[in-house]
Amino acid sequence: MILIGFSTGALALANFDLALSELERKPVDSVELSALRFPELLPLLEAIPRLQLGQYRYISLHAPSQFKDNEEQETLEALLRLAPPNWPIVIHPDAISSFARWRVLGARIAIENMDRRKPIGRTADELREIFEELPEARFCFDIGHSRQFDTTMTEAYKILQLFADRLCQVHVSEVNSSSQHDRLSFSAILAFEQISRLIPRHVPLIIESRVTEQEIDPEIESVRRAIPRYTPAFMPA
Amino acid sequence: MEACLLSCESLKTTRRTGLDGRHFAIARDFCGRGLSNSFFANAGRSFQPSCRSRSSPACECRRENSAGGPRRILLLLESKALGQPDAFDRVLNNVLSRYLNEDRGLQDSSKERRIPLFLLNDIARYWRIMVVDFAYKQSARGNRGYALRSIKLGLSRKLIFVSGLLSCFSCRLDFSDEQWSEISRTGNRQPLIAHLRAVLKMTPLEIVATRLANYESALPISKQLFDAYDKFIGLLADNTPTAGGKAPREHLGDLSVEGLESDALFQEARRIRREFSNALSDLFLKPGIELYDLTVQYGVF
Repeated sequence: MILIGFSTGALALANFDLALSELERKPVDSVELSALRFPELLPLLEAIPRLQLGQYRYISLHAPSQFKDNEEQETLEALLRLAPPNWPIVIHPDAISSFARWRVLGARIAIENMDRRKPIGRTADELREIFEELPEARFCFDIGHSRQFDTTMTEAYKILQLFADRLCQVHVSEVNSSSQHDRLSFSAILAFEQISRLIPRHVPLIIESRVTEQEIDPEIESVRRAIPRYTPAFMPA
Repeated sequence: MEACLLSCESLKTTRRTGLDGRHFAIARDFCGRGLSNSFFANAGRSFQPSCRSRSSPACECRRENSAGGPRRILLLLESKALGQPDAFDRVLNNVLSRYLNEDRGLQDSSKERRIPLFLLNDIARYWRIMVVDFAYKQSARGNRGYALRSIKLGLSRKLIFVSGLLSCFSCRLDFSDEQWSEISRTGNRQPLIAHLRAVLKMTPLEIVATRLANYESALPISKQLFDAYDKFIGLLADNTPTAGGKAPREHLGDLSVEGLESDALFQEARRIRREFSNALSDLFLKPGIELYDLTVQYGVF
């Protein structure tokens, strides 16, 4: 089983059509459709029926990372109405103002661990509190956020020890000190390797590194090196 | 010049703080041998390494002054975050990471050591520095405050050392053979760091109590240890004036060395210190429980 792919936001921000076209001939079978800003959500959800997604065995949606006024409720309603029920919906816990409201999504929602700028959701203890509020929720482990928070990867180890059973996907990138997603450095690869065996083999890796089309293949190679369960025998479809 | 992912500023920071062991190790590796440009070129960045020459790599520059070690051990054994603990947690994880990642003996699965000896030795150094500092202060302060300092050295300061010793021993005692085999095989120290952080989150008294609670046969001695400490705390917290009109703590603080042998309060405090010390000797230096074997094997030489 080989599950690896990209976030459309990492490749082309809100332009998911461009991102998907860049991935067409790449060795990926997973994708995260990203709508990190509220105005991007509805166009993405409405486009789903026409998107060419046949090459993907795993697809997820990334919900907006912050809301104003009524946007949180509108987002929830739009997701319930338009998102395919078998696609995990990744959300940042600090964007949620009412956990009770999001419980309706049950196991469709995937809470992502946060970078060090955020007030919640960064550590195993903070995530435990969130999962108490959303007991059915799954988990999107952002390994770059976790390393940015603790370069020794001890917090990442603790998080995976506690929540590996909820894991539905892993975000992979190097998160720099400005919390921007960069390509993997040698140092990041060494750090990720250390806890890679705690990531179940069936869990898809979604690359969030900001890359050009030409950099997609080398970045996939770096991710394979960092989380070495993926064999080099994998070839594009 | 080789391309490299490490920035000069990062290397300087690493040298200054001595904390990011992984970064340092990569820097040292980089400086020590040429790495191919092709690997780094994939990352799309280039960089000038900070080493001025191969013969004096930046990696060499991680000396610390005499205060560095004790401060680091104090941070591990006696610190608490005020407010948000994020930075505190990061620093402590990095400190432990250095001690564990640079302890080569922990990497050899054929060895049965399983004690973080680098850390243990620095904790022992911290204790010895406190003892030597006590003697130094006798001279520097003309014996002023000797009575109170000697009692504190033999009780609260010694307790901190004991809690550090037990924290190190816990790495051997609280992990199974399978867990150790995995740690040695992978070289990954996160389980040990997480474990030590959990242990060190406790107060020294809690660390000692948690460990000693495992040894039923030693409960009478353990009780003697905690009874003595309880009396010590009670003595220092007592505000009842002594015959001289001062509270016990103030009285001991002002007592001259000439008056030690004839002072009833100091004699009482000294008796408490001996009770505490005797209990520790029974627990750590007499055959009985596993702490004895570990102390003989790792705690002395």
